[in-house]
Amino acid sequence: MLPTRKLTLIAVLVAQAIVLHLFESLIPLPIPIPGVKLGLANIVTLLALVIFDFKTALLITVLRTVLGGLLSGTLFNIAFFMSISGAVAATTLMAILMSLTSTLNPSSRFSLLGISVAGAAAHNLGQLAMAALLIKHSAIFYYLPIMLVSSLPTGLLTGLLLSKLLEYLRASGQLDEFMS
Amino acid sequence: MTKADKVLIGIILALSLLTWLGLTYWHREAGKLTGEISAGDRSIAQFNLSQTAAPRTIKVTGPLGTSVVEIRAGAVRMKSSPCPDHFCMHTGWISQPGRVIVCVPNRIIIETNRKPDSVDAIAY
Repeated sequence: MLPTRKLTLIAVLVAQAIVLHLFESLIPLPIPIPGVKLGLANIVTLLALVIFDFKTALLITVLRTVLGGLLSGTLFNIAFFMSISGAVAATTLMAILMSLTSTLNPSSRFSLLGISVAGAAAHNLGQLAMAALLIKHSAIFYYLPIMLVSSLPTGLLTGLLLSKLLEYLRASGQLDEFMS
Repeated sequence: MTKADKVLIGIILALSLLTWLGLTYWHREAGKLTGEISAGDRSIAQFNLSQTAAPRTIKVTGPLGTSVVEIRAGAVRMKSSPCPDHFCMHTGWISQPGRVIVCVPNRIIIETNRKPDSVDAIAY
């Protein structure tokens, strides 16, 4: 792919991720746990891992978190640091699983659903670790069970949405165009 | 969904169930329910929750301002907090051993039946 095309596609993905990141903060969740959210922006991170590689996906994720923080007025506060550590942890684990699963035989591979769930769990663990560092207290890990459970529905939802999106992108031939 | 996905989901479910059971039962002691309030790594107050005592409040100061913790017989809650999202207040009353209310923005932690020898600070 030409650098200009790649640059443009990265810019579009960052913009989409920011919109999802901000849109998600408008949805109230019934669980009073700091940091439990849908993780819609993770769709873009995973899509970037499918189209590009770990480095580009990480760039998109970090840009999304910083610009999203700037736009929502939470830049460099606690929510921002929890968000960025969760996002980097999720991107890293999903990239590892994606390269790992391509080496396995086809019957024991992870699908995007599993990778998305693992990403959601890594996001929540990354957030908790950052929160524990910030408040200098390990009691935050009492939230570990509920954070792990909540990563199942949210990870499955974002994984399902991405599978639908990829189906459409494949059928319309756009995915091949992106990856060429 | 592939077999590997199901195994992964199973592992996450098992981990969360084990940690939940572990936290609850590790802190369970017959007839004992205590509470402890910390501001960051400093312990502010310890109190007994199993006695029927008159309801009272404790004020704790964090980086954002003053949070008010309310104690009644058998339960404790965050009554008011200067943090933006009020996750701590929405947690409501906690009345089981091994439960916690954490206010991350104001660095206030309320724990029930904290183990004195448990790891309570992060080593840098």
